[in-house]
Amino acid sequence: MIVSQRSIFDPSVNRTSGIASFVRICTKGGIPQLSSSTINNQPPTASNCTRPAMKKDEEAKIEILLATLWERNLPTLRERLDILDRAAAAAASGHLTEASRAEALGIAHKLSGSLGMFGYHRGTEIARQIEAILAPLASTPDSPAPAASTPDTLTHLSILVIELHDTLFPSR
Amino acid sequence: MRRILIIDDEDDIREVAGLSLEAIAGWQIFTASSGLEGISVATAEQPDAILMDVMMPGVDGPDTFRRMQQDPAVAHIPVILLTAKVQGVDQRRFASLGVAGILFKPFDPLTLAQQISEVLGWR
Repeated sequence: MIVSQRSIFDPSVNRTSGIASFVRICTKGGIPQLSSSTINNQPPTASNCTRPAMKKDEEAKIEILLATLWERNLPTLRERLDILDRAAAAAASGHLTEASRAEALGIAHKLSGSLGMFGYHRGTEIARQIEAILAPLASTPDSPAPAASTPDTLTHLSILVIELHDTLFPSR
Repeated sequence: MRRILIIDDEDDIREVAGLSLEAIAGWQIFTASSGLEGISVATAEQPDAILMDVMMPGVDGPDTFRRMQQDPAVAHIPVILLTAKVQGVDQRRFASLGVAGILFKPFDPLTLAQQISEVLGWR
C-alpha cells in the first residue's frame, strides 16, 4: 500500500497551475503588478495575463478550467463563508448547536480539500485549523476523538474565519 | 488507454480531476457523485482503477470500498482513496482497509496522473 506524500504543498512539486500561479506567471511575465481581476478576487484569465511562451496546451486547459470553476463557485463559496461566520459567532457566545457545528465542520472539510487546488494554500491551512476546532468530541470506531474544543479554541474560531475571508477576498 | 472512475460528491473535484487526467495523461474518465452510483458505474464500465473520496454523504468512501470488496464484479479493481484528512491516525485507518493507495486533497491537477501511476505501479 502506497501513501503518496506528494501534495500541492510539496515545494519539490513544480506547480504552475491554479489561481495563485496565475499571479506568479503575471509577475514573471513582466507585468509589475497584479491584474485588476486578481485584485478584485476575480481569477485572471488567459486574456489578462502574460503566459510563458512554451506553455503546454494541456496545462493551459487546466488553468482555464480552474479559473472558470473558481468564478462559478464564488456564490457558493460566499454562502459557505457566511455559514462559518454564523457558527463562529454562535461559538463565541457559547450557543453553538450540534447541527451548526456539524454543518460548519463539513464546510471546513470541503474547503480544506479544495482551496489549495485553486492555489489558495493558506486558505486550505486555515480551513484545516477550523476543521480541527469543530471536530466532534465523541469518538466512534471509524472516527477517533480529536483534540477537544474548549471555550478558548471556539473563540479562536472567529479569528480564523476572519482570516479565511481576508485570504480569499482581500479587497472586501 | 487507461480508464479511471472518479467518485466524489464535489462537482469541482470531479471536474478538475477528470480534465486533469484526460488532458495530461490521455486517460478515459468516468465519474460518479456517490458511493452507490460509483459501484454501479464500476460494474458497468470495469475501469482500470478507481479514485474515490473518503467523506461523502450517505455511503462514504471506506464503506463503498468494503462493499466493492464483497462484490466479485468489482473487487479486483484497485481503489485509491482521495482524502483531505492528513493526520497519521486517519492514514493508518484508511490503509488498514486494503486500498491500493491514498492521495491527499488538495491535489495538484498537473501531477495527479503521475501520482496515480506511481501508486499503481503504472509505467
